[in-house]
Amino acid sequence: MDEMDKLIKQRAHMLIFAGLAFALWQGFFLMADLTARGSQLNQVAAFGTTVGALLWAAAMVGFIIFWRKVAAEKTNSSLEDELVQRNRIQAFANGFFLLIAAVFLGNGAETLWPGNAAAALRIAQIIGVTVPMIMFARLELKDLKGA
Amino acid sequence: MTSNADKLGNRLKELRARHGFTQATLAAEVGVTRKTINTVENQVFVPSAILVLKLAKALQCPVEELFYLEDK
Repeated sequence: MDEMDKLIKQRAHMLIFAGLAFALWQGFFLMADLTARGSQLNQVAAFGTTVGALLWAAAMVGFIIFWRKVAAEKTNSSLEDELVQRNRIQAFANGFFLLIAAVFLGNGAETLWPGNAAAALRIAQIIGVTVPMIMFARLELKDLKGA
Repeated sequence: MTSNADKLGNRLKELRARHGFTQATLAAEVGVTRKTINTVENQVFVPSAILVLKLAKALQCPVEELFYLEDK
């Protein structure tokens, strides 16, 4: 495995980590919003929110370090080649369709459990951010596996 | 007229080997990653015209020798 393959793998793993950290952070945030203030569940949610936020922050620091390393090695243009761009477009398209599906499901669920717009928006936020990141990483790892 | 069902065949692996390139060295030559070369060779990824021209230039052959439409 050459240096470029390692960078691709590293980027994909970082994206998966960041996506899961974001989902954890915002998922617990949602849980905190939906549980009674001061209850045990609410305290668990508050703890989870803090852990998730710290993991997300760590992922962002990791990305800064990664891109500095890439810039130093002058491998940026190869790391962003046309296959990467295709994978990114596909990941965003999949994320978009999943988001639309979630909106339709949310619409249906709203008739059963009426109205919490903030919760619905947070779920959309989680899907909109997490799905493209993880989908892109999955496509990159799949291509790398075949290489 | 082409359709989405048309498949782009290639002799990339054969010509690459003939010129003594590995996937990694050819990738570096044309400014992409090794997995891009691999996915083109395995017909998983259809490259852009720009990449096709760069590959033909690197392998010193006409585009038609490198890529062709496969018979259905």
